[in-house]
Amino acid sequence: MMWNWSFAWHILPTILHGMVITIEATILGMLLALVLGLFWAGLLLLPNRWIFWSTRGITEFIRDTPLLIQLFFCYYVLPEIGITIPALLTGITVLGINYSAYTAEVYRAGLQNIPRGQWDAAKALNFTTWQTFTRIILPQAIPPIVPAMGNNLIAMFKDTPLLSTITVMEMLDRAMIIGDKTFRYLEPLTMVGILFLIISLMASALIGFTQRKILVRR
Amino acid sequence: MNHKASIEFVNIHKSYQRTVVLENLNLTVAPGEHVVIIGPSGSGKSTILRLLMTLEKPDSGEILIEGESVWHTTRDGRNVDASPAHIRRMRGKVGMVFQHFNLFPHLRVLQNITEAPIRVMGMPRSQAVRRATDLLDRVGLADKAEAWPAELSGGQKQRVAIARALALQPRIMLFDEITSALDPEIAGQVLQLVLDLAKQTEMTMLFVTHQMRFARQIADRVLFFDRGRIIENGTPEQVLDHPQQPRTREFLNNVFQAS
Amino acid sequence: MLHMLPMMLRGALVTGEVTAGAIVVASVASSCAVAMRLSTLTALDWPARVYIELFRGTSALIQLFWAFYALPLVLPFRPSPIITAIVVLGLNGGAYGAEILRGAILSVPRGQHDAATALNFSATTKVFRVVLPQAWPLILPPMANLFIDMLKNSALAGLVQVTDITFNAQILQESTLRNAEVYGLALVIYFIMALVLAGFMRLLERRMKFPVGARI
Repeated sequence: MMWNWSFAWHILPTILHGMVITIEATILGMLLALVLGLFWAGLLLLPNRWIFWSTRGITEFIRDTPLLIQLFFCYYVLPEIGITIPALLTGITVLGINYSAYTAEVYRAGLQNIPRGQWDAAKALNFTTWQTFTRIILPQAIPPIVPAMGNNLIAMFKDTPLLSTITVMEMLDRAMIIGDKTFRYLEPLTMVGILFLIISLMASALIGFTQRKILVRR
Repeated sequence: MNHKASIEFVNIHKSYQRTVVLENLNLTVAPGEHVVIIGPSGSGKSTILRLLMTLEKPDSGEILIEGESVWHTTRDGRNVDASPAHIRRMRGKVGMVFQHFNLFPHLRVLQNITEAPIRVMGMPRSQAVRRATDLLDRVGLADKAEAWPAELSGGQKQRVAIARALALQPRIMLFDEITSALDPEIAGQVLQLVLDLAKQTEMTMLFVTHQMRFARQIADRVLFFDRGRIIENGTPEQVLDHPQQPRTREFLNNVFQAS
Repeated sequence: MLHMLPMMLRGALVTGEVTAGAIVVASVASSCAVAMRLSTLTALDWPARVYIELFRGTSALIQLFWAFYALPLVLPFRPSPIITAIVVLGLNGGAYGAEILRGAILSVPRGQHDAATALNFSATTKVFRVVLPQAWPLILPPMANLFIDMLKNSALAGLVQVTDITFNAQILQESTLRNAEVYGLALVIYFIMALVLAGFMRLLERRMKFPVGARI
């Protein structure tokens, strides 16, 4: 069985349609991860040991278990406790929560790189803690961590095919449906692979570019 | 020719990208001679040592050690690039001590010294250990054999580095600003060690240094080096006390004012 | 929940096999790839680059499905699911491992190379006695993370008929419909396995340590 170009052209629109959902899931998932990760990082800064260790425990558990099982768990258990949401939304939520454990680490590293003197100076100027955090610390901490966040974004993008296992019709799911129907897996799977490759290579190049930009500016 | 020179540089050119570091350099060093190279930083002094150690390759010209070309051999009457084996044989005649010591951080002091004799010369371990212990004794660090490099002070590290280079019994020793990274007091002790060493051995020695007092004590000959060229060449008295060139005078004035 | 345990533990054994096998494949693949990447020959550098970019640029699940569904159509034989999973997940991990190795090896300072040359070390002595021992402490922590990622990725094998934790959990879920228990148990088992692996790697790290000074 060799590569069939006309078949490949024929199925391209269906797969590209799936790409829209893939990208949607990535962007929304990342937004959730960025917000929730900052929340975890903030909790880790609080001077309460209980909060610190339970936050550590939660993020550690999330990072040490497979995303696939987390997806299955939420997909099957959420309806049992009365939450019925579309599979895509479940997928986005799980992706976001999963990656929040990683973005939290990135935030933490970024915050640790801010010298103590900045906190002291803000206190000396009588800023509130909230003001210090949002107006002094974060604006300094964010730019250096942009590349690391970008790498998380690419990693999440490459994890979206897992959503196909909970019936989300993203690229891989559509490719497999085509394969199951026509018994031709070579074209759809190869095309999905190439599309992923193109997008992640472009994204990596973009991150490299911003990284150089940030390095030049500092 | 009966009396072979220890080192010869013949028309050596070396540049990095567009910067010319050495320009048409000619230099001959006699066996057992102690030559000190001085000059402003960035003038290419260290490059001379790095070329001799085969850490860098010249763009053109010949480097000869004991009359034999380092980078070329003759085959069927023609000059061809030397084999890696030839280069390694030539490299074996030279030892080097670096500004930043470059000790191996993952090996203990004694292992730093025995590693090369065992792996390069194929010396039995027991013999290598005995020699390394002797050398450590000679540099005054007999009690540090089992220490890690990170546990030593800068001066101690440099002593170990000297012992490590000596362990291979080179015929030529290169000292590249070996006290630049040390406190003045410690530097004096390390230099004294080198002075003693120079008296006890027949080795040819090349130094790049900013220590003028040391240069005067150890040198048979001093070279003043500026912008890729030797512009003064003579005994310590000639070069340090009666420099002919305005650049040399200016440089020496600056150095003595600073110290 | 107790009656689920034997089947889940049998799955855990297979998960362990897949992970261990993939780690072996990844170690070999990343060593070869990094040796090729660091060689001065472009003819070696390029294939290694293509391998690394290909496996890092696409998703592990797509690679696995491709190898399971598409590849046998062009291959003269059909490898068993577990072999397919081990090779694909191993090659995937190897591509990331190669970048870890490369970064660590390139971070060994130039002075160390100079010293090795000045002491007339051969190329192999230099690599194995000077460069690699110093790269090790930098390699191990990210490698530990990679191995844990590979353990988690091994769950994908369950989707191509390897009878690991994931596969057995799916069967139990369909037969018992006790969703929370089945997948909760699966999560806990993976978590414990990850902790064991992490502990083992930390032990290895401690054994590889030597006191590192600022400037040696």
